Amino acid sequence: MVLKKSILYIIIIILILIWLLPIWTSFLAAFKSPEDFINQKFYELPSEFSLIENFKNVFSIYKLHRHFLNSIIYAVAGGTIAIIAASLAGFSIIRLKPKFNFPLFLIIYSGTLFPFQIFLIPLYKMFNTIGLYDTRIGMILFYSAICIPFSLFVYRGFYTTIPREIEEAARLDGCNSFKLYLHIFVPQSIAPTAVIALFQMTWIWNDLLFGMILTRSRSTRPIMIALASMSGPSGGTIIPYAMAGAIFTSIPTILLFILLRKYFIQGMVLQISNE
Amino acid sequence: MARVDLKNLTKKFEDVIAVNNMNEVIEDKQFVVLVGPSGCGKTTTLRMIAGLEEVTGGEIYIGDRLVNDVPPKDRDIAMVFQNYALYPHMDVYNNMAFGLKLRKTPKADIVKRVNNAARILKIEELLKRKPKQLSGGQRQRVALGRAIVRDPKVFLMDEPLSNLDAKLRVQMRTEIAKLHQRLDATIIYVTHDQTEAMTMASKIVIMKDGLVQQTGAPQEVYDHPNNIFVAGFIGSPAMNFVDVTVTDRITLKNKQFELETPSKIKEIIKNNDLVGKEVVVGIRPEDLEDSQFVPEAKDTNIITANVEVTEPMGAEIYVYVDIDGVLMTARVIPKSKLKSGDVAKLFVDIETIHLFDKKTEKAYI
Repeated sequence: MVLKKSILYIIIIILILIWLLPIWTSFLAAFKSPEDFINQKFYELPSEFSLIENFKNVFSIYKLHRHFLNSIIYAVAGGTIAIIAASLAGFSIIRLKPKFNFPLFLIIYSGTLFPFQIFLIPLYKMFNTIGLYDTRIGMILFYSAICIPFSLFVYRGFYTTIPREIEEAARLDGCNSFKLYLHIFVPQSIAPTAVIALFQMTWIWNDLLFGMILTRSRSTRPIMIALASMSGPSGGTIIPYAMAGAIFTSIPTILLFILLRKYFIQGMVLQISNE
Repeated sequence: MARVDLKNLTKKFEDVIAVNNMNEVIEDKQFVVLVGPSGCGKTTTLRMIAGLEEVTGGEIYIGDRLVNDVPPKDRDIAMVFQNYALYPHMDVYNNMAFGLKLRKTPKADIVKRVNNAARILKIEELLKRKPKQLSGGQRQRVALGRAIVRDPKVFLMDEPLSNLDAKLRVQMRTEIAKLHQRLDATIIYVTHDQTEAMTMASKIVIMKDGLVQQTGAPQEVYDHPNNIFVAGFIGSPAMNFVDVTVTDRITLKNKQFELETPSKIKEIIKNNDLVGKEVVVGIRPEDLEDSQFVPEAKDTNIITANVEVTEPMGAEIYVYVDIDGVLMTARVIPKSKLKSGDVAKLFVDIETIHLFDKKTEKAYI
């Protein structure tokens, strides 16, 4: 029994180490000066602490902070719009039951059935035609649209778990449909909203493909494109700078997870029990 | 408070008729219990009165107002649900105050009303708690409180006690009855439990398959059931039914017994011309007694049968006997020594028996 447990723990520890190694070396690289990085073995500790210097260069040379702001705007605005639209749609589909509510749901949900890449060319053409190419509004619209199907799926599942009697009690108490949504459904949706916010904002934050295709200028391009372009067209990457940039770009998603982890776990349980 | 008037009320769900042409007047301050088995239409009726279910046909009046097309919130009613339906994200105070807030009641008034209701229901110390921190009984009190603060014309209660354990149910039964007296309110209460109906109601409406079978005061319904369904549904243990033939001598004869009839029954037989016909006789378990303990027992008022099982209840014993393949229940005094396998001689209190038509199942009067 003890032997079995020990073996199990050893396997777990090895897996953790394997997983931590690249993260650790990335961190280590971010702390090193470019010279140290070239001259030292990858596992050696830096001879001087260069993180701040690396960050300075990331901001002054690559202007990562500007793109950071773009991505914050896209993640917050896109995620928020998707959350509002999807929760309203989920409420309507489940509780107001308009005609063709299920086909409507399927049509919206079909957005997650196909690989996102198939939207690339049509979107690029459409954005060019209607003047949304290389605009922040265009990016916000795109990100909110792409996040709605999954968000709707989660909200729809969650709203089915709210007992019908609670809705009826609220209606007897004096709620119309909108007040019912606002006072009864929204306050109970913290957990699913946390899941959606975390998943979708992280997705928007990490998106490289659509940002690259649909934007061109520094004022609109999201951060991942800026991070990717740090490697330079001919491969002359300064690894410590790139790693410092990678750490910088990871801050929001890590913060978001720490902030929402309590609700996130509730939400995950909820989602699993729905499926 | 107000009276509720249901006129030709009908509800259809596609091809199924849930409530069929119901006519009922619920007087002001009356405690009316709609009772019946699952699917009899009692909850549908309540939901139509609440406005949660559309009416297919007929009219509902609350007070003098026709409310068919009035939304639930404007009907001046409050409803207590079986699963309490408390808002999980609000504390007890806000659960009770929510309806008043939506109606823009002044804050001071809300505080007063909620505190008053909390005092009546003895939940003052729970006002800051969330529903998940409450026991079933406490939740039910909050649900009642939410209805009370609204001071509605009519209270609607949909099986409010069925999620509680047996002991708590009995306790809350008394509390709701007390509440009715205290509030002087019109209450329409739905249950499938005939004991609740008997103990709480000032009027019982017994339903089956969407049709009202009988309406009346609990004792009246118990003593004079209209048909076999009502007779069997009201009363616990249920009434016993045996097929008998009315003989020329106006006795009730079965393979196992022949009962002499008293003048009251003779008159019923005469009025309905039952001589020579087969009828169903209904005998309540408490109208059967171990003949050893009844001095007036004689051959013409006893039933002899094999005892299948006995259930000592403490204050009485339920004796199950086999009459011509039908299991009958007798409630006999605890002194009785009857046990399974015995041949029991059961005295029948013939004055209280009921006669029913075998085909229509209606009671002969």
